[in-house]
Amino acid sequence: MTLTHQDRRRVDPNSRPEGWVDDAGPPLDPDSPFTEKTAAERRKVARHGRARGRLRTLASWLTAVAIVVGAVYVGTLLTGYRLSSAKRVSLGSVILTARQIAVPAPVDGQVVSVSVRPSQTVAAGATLAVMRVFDSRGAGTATASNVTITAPVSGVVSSITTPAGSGAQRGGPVVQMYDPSSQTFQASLPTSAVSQLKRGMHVRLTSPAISGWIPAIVDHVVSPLQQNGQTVGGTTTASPTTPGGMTIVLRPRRAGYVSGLAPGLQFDAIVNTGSAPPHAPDIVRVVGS
Amino acid sequence: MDRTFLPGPGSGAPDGGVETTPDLQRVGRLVIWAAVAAACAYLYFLLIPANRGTAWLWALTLLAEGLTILQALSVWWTVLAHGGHRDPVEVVAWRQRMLDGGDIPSIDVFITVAGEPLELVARTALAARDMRFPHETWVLDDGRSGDLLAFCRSEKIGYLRRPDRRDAKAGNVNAALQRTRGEFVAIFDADHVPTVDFLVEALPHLVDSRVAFVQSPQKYTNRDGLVPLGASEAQRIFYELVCPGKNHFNAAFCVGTNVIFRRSALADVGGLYSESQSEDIWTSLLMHRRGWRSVFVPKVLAHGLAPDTLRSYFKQQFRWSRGGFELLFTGKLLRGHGLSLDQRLQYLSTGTNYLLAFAMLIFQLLPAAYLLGGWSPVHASLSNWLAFYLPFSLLLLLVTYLQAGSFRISAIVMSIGSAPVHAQAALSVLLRRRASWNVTNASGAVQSIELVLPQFALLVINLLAIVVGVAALRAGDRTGTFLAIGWASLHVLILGRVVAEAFIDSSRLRRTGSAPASSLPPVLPARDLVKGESA
Repeated sequence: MTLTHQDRRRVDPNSRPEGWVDDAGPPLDPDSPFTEKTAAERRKVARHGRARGRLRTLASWLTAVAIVVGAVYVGTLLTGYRLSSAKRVSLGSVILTARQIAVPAPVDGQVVSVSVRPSQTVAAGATLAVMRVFDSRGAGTATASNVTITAPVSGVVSSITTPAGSGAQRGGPVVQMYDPSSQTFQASLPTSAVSQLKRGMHVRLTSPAISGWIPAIVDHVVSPLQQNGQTVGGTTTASPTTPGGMTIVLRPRRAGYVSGLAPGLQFDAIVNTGSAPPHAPDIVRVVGS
Repeated sequence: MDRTFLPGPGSGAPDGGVETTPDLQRVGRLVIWAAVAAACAYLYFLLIPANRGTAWLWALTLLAEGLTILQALSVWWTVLAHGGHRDPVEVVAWRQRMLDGGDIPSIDVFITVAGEPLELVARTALAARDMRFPHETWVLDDGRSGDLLAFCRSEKIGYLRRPDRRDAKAGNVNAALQRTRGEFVAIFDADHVPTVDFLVEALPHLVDSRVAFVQSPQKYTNRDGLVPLGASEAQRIFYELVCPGKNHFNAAFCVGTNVIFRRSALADVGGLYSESQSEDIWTSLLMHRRGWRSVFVPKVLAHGLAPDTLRSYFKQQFRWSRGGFELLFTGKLLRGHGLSLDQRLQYLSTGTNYLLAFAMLIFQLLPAAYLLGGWSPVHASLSNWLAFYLPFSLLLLLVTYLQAGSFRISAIVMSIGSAPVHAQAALSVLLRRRASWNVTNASGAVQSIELVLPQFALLVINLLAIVVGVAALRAGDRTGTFLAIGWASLHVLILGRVVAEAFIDSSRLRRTGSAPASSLPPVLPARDLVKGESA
């Protein structure tokens, strides 16, 4: 907007237009149509304005109520989130651990051939190895028969304990394998941390190796008595790394989440201590006591 | 505590001057420089990349702090410019000549009326008529009141009424200019009662023929209630501290009342500027562009009424802030011709003063952003941040206190409460909307929540932040959460007081059926300047 004074309407201070009321002029005419119109106009404006004003007041009150309702809703959401986030405890690192399955020789004999290699995936019932068994029933006659050793479950071969040509005793392990879909997460924690946990609490596991996160459930602790079983991957639980600590086992919600992963992967675990089902026992308690 | 503006007889210095004692001024300067240093340090702290938090929130905080510092600097610059001056020799000489019986030029005194109650206008008109120095008094009645006409006839006061009502007050005055002939024109609002010596004090400053107008302060006499108190205090700071400084830069602007114009200057710019609701400041700008000078007389020469309801206060604030924003956005202050650099900066500072509203709104949302969303503008340790922020904010407060001489909570509450109104004014200028702020109809229906919806929303947000924050206290970062809850509580208190005021007003309206009875401004006894004592 330009402000040069030439643009503007000029007001000549010395001019005197017609028809004005001033001190020296004629008295005010109360019947002048000009005065009437002004008063009537004013009344009309007031009537319109009243209705509009009431509508506006109502709209304002509704808006205020909407603000409060929205705030209460958002507040409840956020408060719940914040309170639950307070219950999130980090458990540190856990290791994906598989339980070693030792496939035994059914009878004494000699391993003739092994048809699998370490790290090979086998289906349940697949042939792992063939053994020659000597059947010394009759005196002097030794009949040899072949016995096939099959995989008890689907899984991955971890090692060949008894290679081809070696003898195996009945019950002794021939092939070691593990079932990836039955892997669990294990970690050694100090007793103070373990005592917070209840069976069934939800755990969230993340790792740089995978995108997203894996849900799991707090399952049980491994007592020192049980720790003779060997595990594949990670540290063996024969001796807990923390003196006075215990090993906790977290079971993935679904086997499918871990069946494609190799044992030994490290995860970060965060447990929501507010998520235990009702009447859940502390995992440090022996069930039934 | 009016240590400087004491109207009436026997008040301090014979000329009622506004100079602070020299000691206080010196201390003020030292503290101001310290505050500037602290502000620079804090800005530096905010700008370090390592300290940046959530990007958008950091940018907003930087903007808000920057605005605060900018405004503080411009106020301090203006205030420090006032060296204190007595009236120039020519002014004193001319005053003396006129008092001794010399020729007094023709003076018209206008009182603009637009529907105010008769007793209010009557007081003003009588006081105007009884001022010293011969003059013609005119009541310019846009309210078309027959009672007022009769009153003016009986008291021998001029009465002017125009056939239309275009352009509000500016149109009213311009129309009256066509009916009168005085060499000088004084203008008063209907509620501003001049002292008897207004002309004696103000007119002599026009001895310099380059002076277009002489402006004197607005002084409010009603002080009961949050709104009048807050409004009065804000005015006091402006007129006591800021305006005398503006004098030094020849940037004193007209505020629409308690002012005396030279008619030829008004003719030069085509009358009062009528294309804006803020005709006063635009007229000043035009005159300054044309090379005229202006004088601010730091003496209380008229008494008026502060708005006493939230509605009237917000209306006034909307009008003033809209004027400031118009100047800022459409005034071509930096490109236009005719202004000195100092004048440009001074007019700019009027606009940036109202930009503070956006800074306040950002500050009011910061605790909620942290407590509800976890967003923080700064990622630094608490002690680190406090080391920079505490000196900055404490020194800022100290300077404000030293300059204002007091620390009125009501002023703070009112300025924070009117931030949404200023923001709405900025929007209305930017979006070129109609310049009005209406929350009720003409018949004045009961108003409550409509007035303060934005303040109410901010209040609810801060309350929500406190509730969620208390729940979150159990999860880490306790000190940050405590601080944010503290700030949010402060906001809740202030905004709650403002929202409560809206309901107090409406319940008062319902009870009395009309606007609260305001104390009418007093008509002060005459003060004989020659003899230096009351007449």
